[in-house]
Amino acid sequence: MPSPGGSGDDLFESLRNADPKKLEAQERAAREREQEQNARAHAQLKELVGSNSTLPVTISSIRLIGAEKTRRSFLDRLFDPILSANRDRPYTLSEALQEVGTATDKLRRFDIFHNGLAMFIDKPSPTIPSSTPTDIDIYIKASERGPVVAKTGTDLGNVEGSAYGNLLWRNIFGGAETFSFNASAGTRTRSAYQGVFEMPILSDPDKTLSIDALRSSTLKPWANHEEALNGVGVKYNWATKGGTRHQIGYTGQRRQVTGLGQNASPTVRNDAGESVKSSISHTWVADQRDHPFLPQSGYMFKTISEITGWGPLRGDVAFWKSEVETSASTAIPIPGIKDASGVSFTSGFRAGLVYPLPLGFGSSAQPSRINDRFQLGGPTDVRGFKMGGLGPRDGPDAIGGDIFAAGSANLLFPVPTIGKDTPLRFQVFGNAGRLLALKDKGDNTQKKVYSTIAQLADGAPSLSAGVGLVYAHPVARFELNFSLPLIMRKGEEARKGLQFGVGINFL
Amino acid sequence: MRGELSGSILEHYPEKSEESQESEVPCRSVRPVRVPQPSETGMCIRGLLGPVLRSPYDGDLGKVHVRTRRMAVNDTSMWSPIGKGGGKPNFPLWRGRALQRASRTGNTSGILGRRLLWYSRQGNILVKAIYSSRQYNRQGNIIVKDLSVSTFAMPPTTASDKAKEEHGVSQNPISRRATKVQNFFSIPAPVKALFDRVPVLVYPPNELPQRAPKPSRIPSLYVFSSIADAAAGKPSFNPSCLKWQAFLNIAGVNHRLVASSNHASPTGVLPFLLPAASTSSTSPESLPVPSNKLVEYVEDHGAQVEEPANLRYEAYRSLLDYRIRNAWLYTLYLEPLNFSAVAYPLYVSSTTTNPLVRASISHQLISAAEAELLKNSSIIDIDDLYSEADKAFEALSILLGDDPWFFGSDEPTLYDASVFGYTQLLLDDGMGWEEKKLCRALRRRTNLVQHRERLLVRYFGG
Repeated sequence: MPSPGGSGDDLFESLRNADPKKLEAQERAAREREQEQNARAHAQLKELVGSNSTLPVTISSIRLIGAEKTRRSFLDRLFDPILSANRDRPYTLSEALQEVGTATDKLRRFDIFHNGLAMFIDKPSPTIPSSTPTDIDIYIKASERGPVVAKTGTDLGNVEGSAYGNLLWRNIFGGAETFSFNASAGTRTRSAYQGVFEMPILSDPDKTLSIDALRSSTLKPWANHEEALNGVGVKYNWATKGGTRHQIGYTGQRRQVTGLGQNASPTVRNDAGESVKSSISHTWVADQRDHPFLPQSGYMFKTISEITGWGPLRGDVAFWKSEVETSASTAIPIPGIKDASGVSFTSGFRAGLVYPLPLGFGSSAQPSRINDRFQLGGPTDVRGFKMGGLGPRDGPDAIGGDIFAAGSANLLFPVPTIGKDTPLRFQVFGNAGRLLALKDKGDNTQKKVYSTIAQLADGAPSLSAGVGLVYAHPVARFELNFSLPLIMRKGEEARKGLQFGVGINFL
Repeated sequence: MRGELSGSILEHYPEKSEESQESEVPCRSVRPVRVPQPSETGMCIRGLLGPVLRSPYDGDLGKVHVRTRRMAVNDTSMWSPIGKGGGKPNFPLWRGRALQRASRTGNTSGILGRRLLWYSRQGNILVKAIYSSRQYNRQGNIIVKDLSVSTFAMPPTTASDKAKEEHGVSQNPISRRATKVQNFFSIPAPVKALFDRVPVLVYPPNELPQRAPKPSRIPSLYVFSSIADAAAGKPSFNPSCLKWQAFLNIAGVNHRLVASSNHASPTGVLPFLLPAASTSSTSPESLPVPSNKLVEYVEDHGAQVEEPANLRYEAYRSLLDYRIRNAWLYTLYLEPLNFSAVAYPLYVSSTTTNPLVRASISHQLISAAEAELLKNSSIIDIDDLYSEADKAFEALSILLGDDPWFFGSDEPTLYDASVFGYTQLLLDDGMGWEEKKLCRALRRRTNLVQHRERLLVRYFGG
């Protein structure tokens, strides 16, 4: 007969030397049970709602619990329109739930509450004289996020490393206004401070207005100088129903080309000094890709247009600047493999133009400066060339160009032993680009621009090809490529062999 | 005796004493030379010697290539000093061991008194380099001071040595490992062949943007000026820029003016001279010359401007650099009338059209001038500043007397240019001075006014 002490020892032993497999099985069982319960509750609710979906209801009140700091007027704009008192016809239950769902989703997107907004429905007591039998009350339970978040860390951006500190102040005036301050210092960006105040317009998370101030100092080793910026901007962002985003904004910047290197070229020396840029810009983005860094299918289209210094904008520089950026990916089925093969083809194209304009209400167009011209080349755009390796060069300096076009074609396929579900791919690529300065002939700007655009097709573009490994980390895309330049212009700086690239926006 | 590395036997060792065999090629100034490090085993100075022996005065030593030597690989023990504790050159030891080493391995180094010795063998010629100190500059080049290079002829190596070298028997394990490491980092032959084949097509270079300056055959002096004035070669509106502009004109160095700002300068201050565009942009000749090196530059380019050889020269220089400069700073930046009438249009509104940035630059200029004046005294005493300047003008006037140029010289000197830097700007009606205290003090000294006229007519075409 086993003694109680003995069985106690057994229990103790079994607890002490718990079999990890058994524990895991227990845990799994508990998890499954919970899931099952949740699913059952969900199904019940669904059935209940389903069977009552056409039940006419009127929303008599919506109560948001746990929103102490959030302004009443801010929430009113969100919830007032769906109260039945403000509508001419009654809801069905499913309609009502959908409307409330949309409103809560908006609330969630303001990012001022913790995730997991819970919604409850209740019937008001029939003893309340003002209530009607169709009335329902809605309770939304939320908990506000902490007002201030500070964080520090290190960053790895486009070919540079940096350390940053970030301060975020949420829901400042109770209307989902945020203020964020960012300070960073890095290998290329010597120092950068940025403060942004952002607020939604009319309680709509798709429409925001932001005001920002920036102060930074960035090394430009490819052109032997340092650019110091002090600027302010006002921007209005909105999203369309089709899922495209727009931004329109004004930027005023004081720029200094300074800290020139010993062997800086005469072109850079001539452009050294102050200039003020005052511009209005518009950005439009349609992004339908399934992954931002490693898309298997979908397309992205982006345009940036900017007018600077013309008419009432003033400042010291005047130009029209346009840029387009497109990228399309398609999965390639392999015969014999039923599922997605993981093989995909991505191609990208970018082009841009700086069109000189007269300053203010003057009549003579202003030639572009080094800090307004485009740079092309580097591991994130035309691979196989150094940073700013394409385009006009004065001695050691990449002095940029006014018109560019660049394209790439990448064939990505999974690494055989690891499989297609990992964010790791082999790639074979070819990319080409051309960066040109506006021709210095004649006075007619339009003619100059046309003849320079025609020159883009003059001879084959500078071209490189190679193979490499791509890794799509959640925060950035990493590439290690072996590339060879095939066609180039004299003076352009190619890179034969290995090249490493980190970035979020690859051609 | 200066020798070309043609392989001809200059002299046979040891038939004559060292002194008579040496062909010293002294290099006067500090020049960057890439000298192999002890750790760079088996390097030769073939590249170093070429330019040294061909053109010792050209300052062409910057373009030194160090190539891996095929013949032999050294280890660091070979770099032990010759002659313990320095002192006199230790000839017996040098003859006995160092030469053997040099002849066997290619090169060796040592200490000779306070100077450093370095030997390298090139075939039948032994090269000896002596230098007093070395420093690394930012590019990783070594700056060598007082370099002298001599060449000696060597007896031909014995057959056994040759065999050793060819078969690499003299290599010790360390050096063999070093070669392996080198091999690992060097590009494999098939890849190298591939690299050599690309790019397959090279088009002519891209054109430069519109704002890029046209390459010029003459050097460019970057000064404070307006674009139109710079093109016409008119006097700069900054005393220091005008001083050097006048100096170059006096020296007869043909140059063009470029209107610029302090941001463009390598030292942060204008003026500086950018030598004429040369074929290679990395050679030291194309680097900008700051104002404190301009006298040297002018001498190097054959022009002569006499430096006044007067004992009191320094004292008179300080008159300009302190008393007159302080009064100038005050009258230009801190007299509100003059600031808005003279300094603002010249230094502020020419840089930008934006009122906020203009206000910021004005503030910077005024506070910089204040800080500069407060360096020398704890308060800014206006009357004192003006009376000091008045005294300084008086002293200058007495110094000049009835002579055409200062210190009684026949031709104008740098000092005349320095004085002109201030007198021209104070006497020029185009400047539009509102508060003319300093101008009046100068106008009272007729000979200084005439001195300015003389320089203006002679070097600025009126």
